Parts: sequence; C-alpha cells; structure tokens
Amino acid sequence: MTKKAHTEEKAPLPRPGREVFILVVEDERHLADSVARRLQEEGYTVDVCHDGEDGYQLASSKKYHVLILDLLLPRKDGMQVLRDLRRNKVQSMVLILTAKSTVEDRVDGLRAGADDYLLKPFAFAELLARVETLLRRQGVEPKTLMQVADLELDVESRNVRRAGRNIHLTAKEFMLLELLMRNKNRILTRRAIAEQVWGYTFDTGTNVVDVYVNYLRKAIDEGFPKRLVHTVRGVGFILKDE
Amino acid sequence: MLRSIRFKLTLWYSTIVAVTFFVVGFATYQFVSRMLNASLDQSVTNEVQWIAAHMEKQDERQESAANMRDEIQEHSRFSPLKEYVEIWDTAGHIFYQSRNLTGDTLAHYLIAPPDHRWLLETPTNFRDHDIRLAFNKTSRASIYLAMPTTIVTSALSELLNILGWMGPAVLVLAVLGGFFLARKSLSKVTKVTEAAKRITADRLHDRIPETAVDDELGNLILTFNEMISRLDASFEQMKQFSGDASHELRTPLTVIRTQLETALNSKVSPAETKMIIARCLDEAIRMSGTIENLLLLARSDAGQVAMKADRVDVKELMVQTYEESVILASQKSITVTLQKADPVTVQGDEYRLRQMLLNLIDNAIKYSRQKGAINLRLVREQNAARIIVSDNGIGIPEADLPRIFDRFYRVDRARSREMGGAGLGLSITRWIVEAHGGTLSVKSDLSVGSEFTVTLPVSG
Ligand SMILES: Nc1ncnc2c1ncn2[C@@H]1O[C@H](COP(=O)(O)OP(=O)(O)OP(=O)(O)O)[C@@H](O)[C@H]1O
Ligand SMILES: [Mg+2]
Repeated sequence: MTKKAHTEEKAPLPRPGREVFILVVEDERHLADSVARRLQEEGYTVDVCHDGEDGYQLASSKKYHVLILDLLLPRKDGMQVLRDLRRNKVQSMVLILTAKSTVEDRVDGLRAGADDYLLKPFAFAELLARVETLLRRQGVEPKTLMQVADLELDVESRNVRRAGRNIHLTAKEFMLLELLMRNKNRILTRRAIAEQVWGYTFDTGTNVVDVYVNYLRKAIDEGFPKRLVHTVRGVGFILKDE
Repeated sequence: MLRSIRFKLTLWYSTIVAVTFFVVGFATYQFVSRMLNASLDQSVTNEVQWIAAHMEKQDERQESAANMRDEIQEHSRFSPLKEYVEIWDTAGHIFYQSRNLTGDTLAHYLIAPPDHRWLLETPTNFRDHDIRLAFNKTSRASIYLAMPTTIVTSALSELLNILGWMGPAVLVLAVLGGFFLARKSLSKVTKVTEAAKRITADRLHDRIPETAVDDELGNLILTFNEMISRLDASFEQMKQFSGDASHELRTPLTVIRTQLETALNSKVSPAETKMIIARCLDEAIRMSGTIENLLLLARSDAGQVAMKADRVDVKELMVQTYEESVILASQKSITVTLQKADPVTVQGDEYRLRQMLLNLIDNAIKYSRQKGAINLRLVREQNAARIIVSDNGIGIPEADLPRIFDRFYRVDRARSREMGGAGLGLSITRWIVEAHGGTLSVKSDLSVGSEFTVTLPVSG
C-alpha cells in the first residue's frame, strides 16, 4: 500500500494507492541530484538522467507519472524531447523546469505539450506543490493529508485538525502552515517564507512573517503540551515532530 | 489651427496667387493701354498724312478748293472714328473746318511752335471729352486733326472693371484651392502620423505602409521605416541580451538555492553540509565571473572602459602567458608549445592584452581532449604583430563559426555550461582586439582543431 523511497534510511510516507514514478531530466548534476533526493523524501520513485537522448529513451520505455524536464540539454534539446514524446503518444505529465524566462519560451513550452512551466531558481515547496497538482490531474491521488505529530492538514478540503480538534485558520495562516508542513523538519528562513507565502522578494515583509508565525502558534500550539513550531535563532522557523 | 501647416500652406498659396494676379493684371492693363493709345495715334497720323498727300495731288491737278473740301469731307465721313479736321492756309485763313467743330477752333488747343512740322498732343480742355490732336505743317497748309480718346478710355475702364471683379474671385478660388491642396497633400502626412503613433516599443515589427510613389512623403516613410527597423533590431538585441544574461545568472543561482535548501534539512550530516557549502561557493565564484564579464561588456558598450596606451612588450607577455598556460593545461595533460616569439612591442593595455590571450588559451584548453596539444606563435610582420593560438581539439562546426563571437553564443550550450563558460570570453576578446585597432579571425575544422589569429598594429 505504501511506497518505498530509494533513500533507505527515510521512513516512507503514507501514500494511498500506487507507486508514483517521476523522471528528472536535468544536465546540471548537483541540481538533478538534490531534486531527486527531495522527491524521494516525499515518497516518490525517482529516476534521473542527464541528457535529452537518455531522457527520451527512458520516458518512452517506462510509464512515468510526471516528467521534470530541463530545456537546455546535451544531445537532444528538451523541447524536442517533449515534442517527440507527445508525437509517440506518451501521456506523462510534463513539468518544464528551466531558466528560460521569456513569455515566448513559456508559450512555446506549453504549446509543445507541457503541462506546467516552472522557472529556475525555484523553491522545493513550489516544485512539490506543482507535482502534486499534476498528479491529481493524472487521476493519481497524491496524499492530500499532511501530518506532523498529531497535527493534520488537508490540502484539498483545507481542513486543519490537531488531536482531532478542528482549527480555524485564515487564508494566509493556512498557506504559512502548509509551507511549514511541506518543509517539516526543515528550517525555513523568514525571507523564504515571505517569498513563498506573500510573494515578497524585497527586504521589508520579514516582520510580517514573525507576526503571522505568532498567530499560527496561538492557533495550533496553544493548549497543547507539545510545541510544534520552533524558532531557530538568527535563522528562521521550523515545524518538527521530533 | 492658425499654426497648422495646412493654414500656412493655404496662406502662402493664396498670397502667391493674389500677387501673381495683381502683377499680371497690372501688366495687362499697361500693355492694352499702350496698344490702344498707339493705334489711336496711328489712326490720327494716317488721316493727317492722307489729307496732306491729297492736297499735294490736288495742287498738281489744279483742282478747285471747293472740290477738295468736298473730298476731304467725304473721306472723313468714312473714317471709323469721329474726327475733327481743320486746315489753315499759309496766309493764315481757315481753308477747311469739319462741321462737327461748330465754332471751336482746333488751333486754339495747340499752340504750335513755328518751326515744328509734326506734333501729337492730348489737350485737356476740349469740350466734355478728351481728344488726341495731331498737327502737320506742310508747304501748303497747317493741318489739325483730332479724334476723341473715348474709345481708348472706355476700353480701358472696361478692362479695369473686369480685372476688378476677377481679383476677389481669383482670391476666393485661391484660398479654397490652397486649402484643398494642402489638405490633400497633408492627409497622407496625417496617415503617416497615425501609423507612427501605433508603433510602440512592443510593436516595433509594424511598419508604415509604403507608397509606390517616389515623392518626398514616400521617402519620408521609407526613412522612417528604416529607422524603426534599426530600433527594432537594437531592441531585439537588447531583449536577447537581457534574456541570455538572466538565463546565465539563473542557472548557478538555482544550484545554490536548491543545494542550500537541502542543507537546511535537519537530517543532513555535517560532512554533507560541508560539501554543499563548497559547491555553493563554486557556483558563487562562477557567477561572479559571469557578472564581471557582463559588466565589462556593458561598460565597454557605454565606452566607459579606459584602455591604456602604454608600450607593451608582447614577446614578454607571450612568454609569461605561455608559462602560465602550461600549468593550466597540465590538468588535462595537454602540452603547450611556444613555437615562435619574435621581439615586438605594441601600443596598448597590458592587462587587457593578457586577458585576451588567456581567454583564447582557456578556450583552447577547454575545447581540447585529454592529451591534446596547443601551439602558441608570435610573429612580427611589416606593420603588425600576429598572435596565433591553435589547438587540435574538438573544432567548431562551420555553421557556428560566424556566431562564436556573439555574446552568450556557445556551440554546445549544455557542454560549455558544464565547463563553466557563459559564452562571453570571445566577445570580450574581440572587443579588446578591436579597441587596439586589430583584428581577430578564426579557422577551424570539426574534430581537427581550431586556430585563432590576433593581428595587432605595431607602433613605429
Ligand atoms: N578553441 C576552440 N575550440 C573549439 N570551440 C571553441 C574554441 N573556442 C571557442 N569555441 C566555441 O565558441 C564558443 C564561444 O566561446 P567563448 O569563449 O565566447 O565562450 P565560452 O568559452 O563558452 O565561455 P566563457 O569564455 O565566457 O567562459 C564556445 O562555447 C565554444 O563552443
Ligand atoms: Mg571562453
């Protein structure tokens, strides 16, 4: 029922239904590795290759749910890989992950049959959320329920419960909690939070983060023996269950 | 409105037409008046001459005076103009006087000086109309003959009349015509203006519809379109440049960001964290290099990079760079040889020239296989120093040759990226060479090797 990640030491996350396969085609090895690693931590089965030709071969020979595809690839251009795959009726969802930032590039990509387009540099949480959306569109039911200790958050129904008790959150508080849960046991800097929840990329805005983290603490931690939201001094915040 | 070209054109046009009309009218009037007066004078003179001639003939034929008077009267009757005739004999008596003079004496209106044979005048006080009076003194008689000038004056006043009402009519027509003409020729200008208005920074592909006619406006449109084309090209170039630049910076940034995000996982081991930090540092250094080069090119575009003009010993420079490149190339077991180094100095910036050489050598090493060979030569020619960097590396496909000096251009983007290049090295090299008044050329065969030649002018 649950699926086994490649990284052995990680406890596989509860995931209903089938094993989910993802292919990462990215020539920048360090990047490819860290993306794969992160996806594996989320419980996906991940294959990695570093050039377009390999990517094309792999994607046509095995059924992947999602393809994460760079555009500038050695041996075979990413766009060409995409076109050829679509011509051969390969149905995998394709997420283009590229540094090409113009509107034309994006339009070209989507027209060639991509399902989504994410610009580098990106945040892992963003990538994961996009992958989940694609999986949902594929009919694969990704886990919509995230859990940290006795705190639960359902991305679909937008329900938040702790120890079985419903908790009401405002829209921003919900987004903040979702981000923290997606990054559970990982430190998030104030700026990373400001960027991903509020879309701020400038200096002001980090104060807002402190204010909202306090709101969130009141809502989910107050009255419970175990605190989940922690401040990492001089760095940021972390939601952890251990 | 009053300042519009249409108004000015109309004003000019009408003024010119009005002035032309006035000048032509005046000249016509003068001409007609002179013609009419001359022909009146001709008539008067003819009549006098006829009478004089006739009297002479009559003398020869011994005709009677009465007979002659009748003949003169008869002749006057057929004259197309009313004429007054008066003839005095030498004794001072009136020999003949036409009946229409009734009591007047023409001689009173013209005090003829004694020694004059011919006189033509316009006395003013004759009855209620002016006359043209001719006088002729022959051996037999003094002949006075006059005709009324009414024919001339009435014709002239008629002409004046016509000119008088034609003037305003012509002026009105000129204003209307001028306005119409101005509008007609300016309507094209309006169209051009409207077309030009539609062309904005993001619609630079549009052009003003060109007319087939090779007139001023057609030329204006053509010139305008050419200007837009140039703008379009430089905009496109700018867009390309910033797009490429952003791409070049996004790539290392992505590695840094994802690596660091990974490191923030509480489960990453300290040893792994160190590795991640080292990787990020590498990327940051690579990024600084790209930014450095970008900035250098941007500043060179703006003409803000000062090139020194010192005497540079190129041989010395060549030997130093050669020694450096031996170490650089040893990593890939590539042998570097300095085949020739003629003594030569040029005027220039030593720092930039070294940068230029290192860029070429860096490429030769990067795009050669393990155990390759790089050859350096410095050849002194008549007025030039020739620096040749050749390798037996992977070579450049012919189709890519013209573009390798373009900014960000890389033959194999993925592979070059792996080796750290942003595709700016040759752009910078070319800029340095050209700033020294030299030329940079390349010969290359795929999988055989490449040869880059820098030619610098030698001072003195
Ligand atoms: N000696 C060479 N042999 C083969 N290919 C070459 C050689 N020199 C340059 N090239 C080709 O020309 C391209 C442009 O060279 P350039 O030096 O401008 O950029 P780069 O070396 O890729 O990056 P950078 O110099 O900015 O680090 C290279 O990417 C490579 O494809
Ligand atoms: Mg280079």
